[in-house]
Amino acid sequence: MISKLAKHPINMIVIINTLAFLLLFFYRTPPNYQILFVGVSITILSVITYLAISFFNLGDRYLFIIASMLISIGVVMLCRLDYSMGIAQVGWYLISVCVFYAAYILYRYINIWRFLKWFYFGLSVFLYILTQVIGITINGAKNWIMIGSLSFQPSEIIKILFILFIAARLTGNNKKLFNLPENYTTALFSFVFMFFLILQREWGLTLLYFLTYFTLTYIYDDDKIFLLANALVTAAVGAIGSLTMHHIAIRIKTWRNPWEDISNTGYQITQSLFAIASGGFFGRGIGMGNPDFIPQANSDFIFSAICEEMGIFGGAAVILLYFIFVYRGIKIALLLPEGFDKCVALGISIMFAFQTFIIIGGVIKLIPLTGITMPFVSSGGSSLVTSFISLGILQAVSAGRRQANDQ
Amino acid sequence: MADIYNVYNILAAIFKYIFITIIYLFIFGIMRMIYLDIKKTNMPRPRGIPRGMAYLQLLTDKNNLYFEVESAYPLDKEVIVIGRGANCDIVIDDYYISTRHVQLWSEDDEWYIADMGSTNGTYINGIKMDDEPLILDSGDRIKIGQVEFMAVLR
Amino acid sequence: MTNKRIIRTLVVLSFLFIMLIVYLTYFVVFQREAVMQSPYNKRLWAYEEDIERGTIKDRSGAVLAYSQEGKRIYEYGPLYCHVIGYNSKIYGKTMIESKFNNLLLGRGSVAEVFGIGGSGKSGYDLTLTIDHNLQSTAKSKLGSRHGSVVAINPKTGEVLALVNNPDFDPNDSVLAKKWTELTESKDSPLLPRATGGLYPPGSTFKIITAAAAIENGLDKEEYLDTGTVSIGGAAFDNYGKKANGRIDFKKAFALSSNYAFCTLGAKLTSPVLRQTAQRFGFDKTFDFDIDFTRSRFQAKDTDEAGSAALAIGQGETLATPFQMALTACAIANNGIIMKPYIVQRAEDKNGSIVYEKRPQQLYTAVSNDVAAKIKDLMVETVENGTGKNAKISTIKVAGKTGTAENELKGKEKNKDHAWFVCFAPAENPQIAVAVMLEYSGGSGGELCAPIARDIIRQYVKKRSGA
Repeated sequence: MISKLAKHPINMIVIINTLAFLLLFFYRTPPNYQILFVGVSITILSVITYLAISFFNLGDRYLFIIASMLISIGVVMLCRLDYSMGIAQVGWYLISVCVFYAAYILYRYINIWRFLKWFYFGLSVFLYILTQVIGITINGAKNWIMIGSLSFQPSEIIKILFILFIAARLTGNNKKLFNLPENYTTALFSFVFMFFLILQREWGLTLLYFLTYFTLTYIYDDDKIFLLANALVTAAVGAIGSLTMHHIAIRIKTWRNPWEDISNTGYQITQSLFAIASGGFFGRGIGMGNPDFIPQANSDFIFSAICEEMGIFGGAAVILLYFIFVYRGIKIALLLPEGFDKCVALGISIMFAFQTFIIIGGVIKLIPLTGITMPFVSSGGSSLVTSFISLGILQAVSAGRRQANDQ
Repeated sequence: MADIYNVYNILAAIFKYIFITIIYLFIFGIMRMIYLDIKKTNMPRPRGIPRGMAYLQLLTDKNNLYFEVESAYPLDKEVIVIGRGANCDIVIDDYYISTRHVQLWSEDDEWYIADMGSTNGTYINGIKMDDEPLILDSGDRIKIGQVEFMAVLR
Repeated sequence: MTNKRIIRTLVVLSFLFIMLIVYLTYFVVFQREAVMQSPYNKRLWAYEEDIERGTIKDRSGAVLAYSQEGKRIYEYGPLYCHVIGYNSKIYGKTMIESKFNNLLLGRGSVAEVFGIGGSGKSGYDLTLTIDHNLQSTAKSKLGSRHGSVVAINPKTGEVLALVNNPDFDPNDSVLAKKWTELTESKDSPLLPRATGGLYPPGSTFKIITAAAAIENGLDKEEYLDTGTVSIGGAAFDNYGKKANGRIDFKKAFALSSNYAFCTLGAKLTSPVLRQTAQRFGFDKTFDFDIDFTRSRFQAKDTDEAGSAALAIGQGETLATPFQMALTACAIANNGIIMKPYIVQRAEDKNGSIVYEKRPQQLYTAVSNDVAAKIKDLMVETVENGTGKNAKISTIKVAGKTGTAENELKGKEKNKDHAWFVCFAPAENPQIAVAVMLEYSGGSGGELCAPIARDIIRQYVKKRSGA
């Protein structure tokens, strides 16, 4: 019976949504009917998209279903924290699914993406500068743009542009610039991306970009000395940065002993640790903990909130979900012939992997904490839409493009 | 008020185990599907097919089909026609397969595939192919009617 | 080539993901408790706000501490500050409030571990072994003098009274007002002297020396006590340099002759004394219901003069009043020290018991024979020796006095610590008492014995009356 159910993971999503949103429905008195609405819409969105993917053979059938499980867990958590956030997230989910289809169609049926590297670079620089000029400051970092009443984080979208740019550079033919070898110019331009992030004090994203760039270079570049030089230069810059830049030094100090300055710099991470500790193995049950004590429990620290109420078994399940997602992405890349698509698939999978590692590792104090969002789970439109654009591209790549015709 | 709160407590306490169980079942389900996928792509060379010979490996679960189908077909001729008709090289009695459905042929060390104007079409790696012949790569999936094959050309 | 590197990348990524899970598990298995108990954890207080903390009662059901509208109220103010401790959002928890926090919050049952049910919204009630009347008497007898009284039932290990002076009021409002004063006061009222204060045991240590002497066959000798003896170049005086003349072992013990015991100590040597003291619990620790400080023998291989000093409880030896009460318990209970405890049981609001302590043996200090012989010595001490002030006409008391030199210099040097340890009735001991008055300047016989006498009289009378 159980193994039969397990054959159709989409059933699991329906069951978990039904149970979780019914439970949340009774969480507050009087019962909140909007919760049921949230539950029904999220289930319908997930099921329809899944069925569309399998019915129309839109490529890999696992990626989306894993993502929708993560979405469900995230929305349950958000509804529990503050149901208006949950409702907003479902709205974003609807938009994201549309964007997902759009990205899928655009990427799959328009075959110009490999030639647009200077467009990616130019657009990114433009967005950065735009952020610096008209951006507003939220949580101490000037990295948001307001469009009407919607706030929007350009650095999220730039993640995709960055992957496309790197993939185009690594797999295409490049003209020689500044009389430097190809890989040096690629490095130069990649560091321009990171430089803008450092200006915005987005340490987490800087690290994420670097790790993605470095891993892709490792895979595609045979020049071991160049790779080593890259690592050494970064290590040196990092070391100098941690010694001279107050922000980084504080983060490392806090990581090593958060209890020392618990009311100030160590506040976030210790609150996160309290949450995970009080959750224990099985958690305190949804609605039974105090995740509202965690700062930013809806975005960067949502993993701690999950651990508090669903336990580290729940937390480990989330990690495993990301893992099979990444595994699937890399598997798709492995089966593809050499080329731009393969590199894009790799870049997206690797970026997802490092992003999850950096944020989860940060909130459990395995590595210094740098605030970035958890893909698919954290609240916030920019993050969710970006994740779904990536997913759409990955989906399109997995569906395949007839290389025999193209070449 | 208090009663509802208590009921909620108990429900939440029980549900958390159910949630975790379901999430793990879900992960298990996905892993199982992925595992089956990998097993298919790494299938050992079926018996009766000599080394070096290209063949078509059945990917669809035979138990779900109401008609007879082999788990592997050797590509042992220059030209091979697949269809429902008795004079085809590979005969599959699937209602959704046309009498002469699809043709594979080898030329200059490459295998080509072309749909023979079938009613329901031929899908290569999930994409419906048009009238143009295509070069097959090893590992490509060919779907006709309800059955799906993988081309093994090494 | 690319695929090979992709697979390597996948391996590294898998490793990172596994590390996350491993670290998460490590954190919950090994660091969870410590992190949870951090006073900065707002959740602790959040849980507690939902739960009515259990009531703490004495052995006959008198309420000592209870919670009302989220406030912890200590019915008798300072009386139990060093037993129950305090429970404050600002200053944390101490003593029973800390050690039995989980039970007081209704946690710690199997159901709770799995998060099903638990005890709902009220914690478990604790019943202590403390006798409230005895505790009050001990307090009033101490008066304003600094010191401790410990009373234990030697047959079971139940702690019947545990009083220290000076003390403080553990109620939150008072604590908040007086905290700085309490922490900075020279009298250290926050120090639980009976369990946490280390003092030279003085002549009360002769119980242990006598045990070593009997075991080594040195109890048949006679001494010509001249009031002062010189051993290894050091001179040892009796209390008040009093010469006792010709005395046997029994008389030497009863009159607390330093002359005799220093001679004995030099013969026994310090390793034998240390080994005997350790059997009584010196240098050892065990799991007790409130944290206590280990009593220390410390001295290793000393010369003759050193051994002589150790034999009369001077030198480096330091003991808590709690340890000296246990020493009396050993003699009272045929050489066996029962494991002491303060919390008798915990029960939920329906009265079903979730935790209960049963008497259990802790150490075997001496053999039955040796214990019986020392009991005789201690009876003689109260009948005809230095402990006369503890004599009760109807009850046979066994005891030992002590007057220990302090570590201070100059004028303060005269302010000796006074000790009295005893148990009664000698033929069937029901209570063992240790009384210590720090820097009192008087002898144990004159200052401490009367306190012990009143406590014993009240307790034994009540027992036989009931």
